[in-house]
Amino acid sequence: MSKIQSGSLIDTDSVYLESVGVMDIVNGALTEENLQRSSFGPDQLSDGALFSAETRADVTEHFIHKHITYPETAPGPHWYDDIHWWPGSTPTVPISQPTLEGVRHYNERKFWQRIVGHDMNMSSCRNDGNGFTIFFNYDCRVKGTWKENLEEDSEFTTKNALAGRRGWISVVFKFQMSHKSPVLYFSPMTALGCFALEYNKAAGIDSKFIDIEQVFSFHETFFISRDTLRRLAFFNGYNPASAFDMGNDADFSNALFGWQVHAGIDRWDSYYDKAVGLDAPAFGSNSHANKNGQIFSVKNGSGGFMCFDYFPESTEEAMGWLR
Amino acid sequence: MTTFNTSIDNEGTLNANAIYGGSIYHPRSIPSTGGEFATLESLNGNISYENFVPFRKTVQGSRDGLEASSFRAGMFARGYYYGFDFPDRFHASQYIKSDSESVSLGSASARLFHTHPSLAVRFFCPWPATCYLGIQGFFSGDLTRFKNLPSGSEHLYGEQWVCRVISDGTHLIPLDFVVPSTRSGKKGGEATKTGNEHRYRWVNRSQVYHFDKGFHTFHVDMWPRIHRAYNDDGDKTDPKIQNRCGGIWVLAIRDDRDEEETVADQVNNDSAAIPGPGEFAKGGRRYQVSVDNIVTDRNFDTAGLTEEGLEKYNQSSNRTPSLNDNPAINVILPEDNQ
Repeated sequence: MSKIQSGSLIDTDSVYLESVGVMDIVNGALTEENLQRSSFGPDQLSDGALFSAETRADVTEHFIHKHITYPETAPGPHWYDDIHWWPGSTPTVPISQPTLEGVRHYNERKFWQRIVGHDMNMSSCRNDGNGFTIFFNYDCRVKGTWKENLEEDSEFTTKNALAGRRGWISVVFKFQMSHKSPVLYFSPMTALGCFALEYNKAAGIDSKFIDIEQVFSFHETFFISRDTLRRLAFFNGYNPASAFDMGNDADFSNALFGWQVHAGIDRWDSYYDKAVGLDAPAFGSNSHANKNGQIFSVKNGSGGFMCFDYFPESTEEAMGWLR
Repeated sequence: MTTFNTSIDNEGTLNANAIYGGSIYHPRSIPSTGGEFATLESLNGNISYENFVPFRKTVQGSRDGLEASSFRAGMFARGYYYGFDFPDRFHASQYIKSDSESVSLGSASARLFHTHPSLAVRFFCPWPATCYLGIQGFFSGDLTRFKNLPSGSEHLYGEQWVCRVISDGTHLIPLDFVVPSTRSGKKGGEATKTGNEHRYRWVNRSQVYHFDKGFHTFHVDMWPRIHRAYNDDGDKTDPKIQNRCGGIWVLAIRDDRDEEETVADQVNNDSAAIPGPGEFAKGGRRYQVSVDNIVTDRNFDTAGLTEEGLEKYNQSSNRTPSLNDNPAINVILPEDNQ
């Protein structure tokens, strides 16, 4: 063959073929002139701006009955929880509490009632090792309440603290650098919705009141890179300098993303008794004795995300969502 | 654009002067963009990093490449949005007879629903796309909740406007929403005059959805659930709803490579999703799955390969097969392809 190799005879033919090999590639290369008068169209593209996309939808009705004491989450009973450093992962200069509010919110909201049907398990982002952007959307229908309704003439009254009972819904996000690395939790302050549950103390027992009909809707954008995940890992109790498959050489070709939806009820008007404990159901046996709130239901939920091939050049912008 | 020629011809005997004079050390012609042939010497200065840098040069100089202006508008994404801030108004009489009590119909059939004229779109996807679809609007209704229903029920079901989101004829059930009653009905059946504003509803519903190339529809359908005939004793007006403002949007993101990746992803990461041995088609291509779940691209034609190329291709098939591999690039080209 004519390929030029050490020790082999070089003849005219071999020099010629060598230059042909280079020439062909070069003549097919793109230069500025190739591009300046036109633009790429569909026949040149074999790629898109999207890495992946998933949707999770649910039509089951879920009843929310769990009372929460500090639904605004700051400063709830778990707001000042210390970081639990995983064994072998304590940094040289450890901090005791997460300075990221999103992690503190998670510490609170993880004790709320979970709407399992609206969860998304860890789903592949197919980011090919690149930093990327997640656009997240979620909405659901708050369908109604039970057991307590309007007074006898069914007027919408302003008596008895119309908004004294509230329903809360929040979204907790989950991130993973790869299948091997730990799951990281984050719930920004803004991932929270609240609505009033109408109440009237004169209402009869066991009557239904099914037309609250609110829509809770939430959208969020995340910029994901090794650095943002490592920062998040730190406040989740994993020092990324330790071995958690989150180093510079760790697999980042397929980051994972998921979420959980949490909900609860509370009240703050004059009928509020006291917190009966985070795990106690608010609704008591067909009576108003338990005054911690009125259950509501969530139905017709739809959540989804799209991963885009974009990551901000500005570090400040890229890290901005980690608050 | 400069066209490069071979530095020497391949006839005659090897001539050191010819190589020297026509090649890298002493080019006999300079690189030109005027159509004149240039020697390979011009590679030293013609095709370079700087050729491409003008398209994108960051302050840090850390990245280069092609910026958005190099791509035809709408290549990666296309969007549609329509918004309105005038009230769209609907009355129950547009849907049902005045002496009807539509709640008795229970779950209405789709043919009873009417499309909301402002929350409807027919759009074109120029390529297979992942779409972010959504609607939003402020709904204020005059719907009544009665204490005693004609059926004798004591339950206080209010009247409702039932709303569905439909795409390509498919009812997207997870996006259902309902506009509730806003005014109370007295015992005698008389309704208060206007709805309570605190029971007006802002609705925002969206979903990520996949569409193939072509025309598609996306719209909201509505239907009233009315407890009492609205003119039974003359004291109840025709129940209405006003959509004071709202919008509808479709954001289509091109993803025609995604199906391939989905398969590759299944193979690489989700062992449970690997198809059994045999052939399967995905994204317009056929793939072969062997007993050990190695997937290879069956579309690559090895007939054009040289003996050496075929050997390397076979070797490459044994390394890390992936649908992302492009044999034409990653394997080897026929050597005498000139």
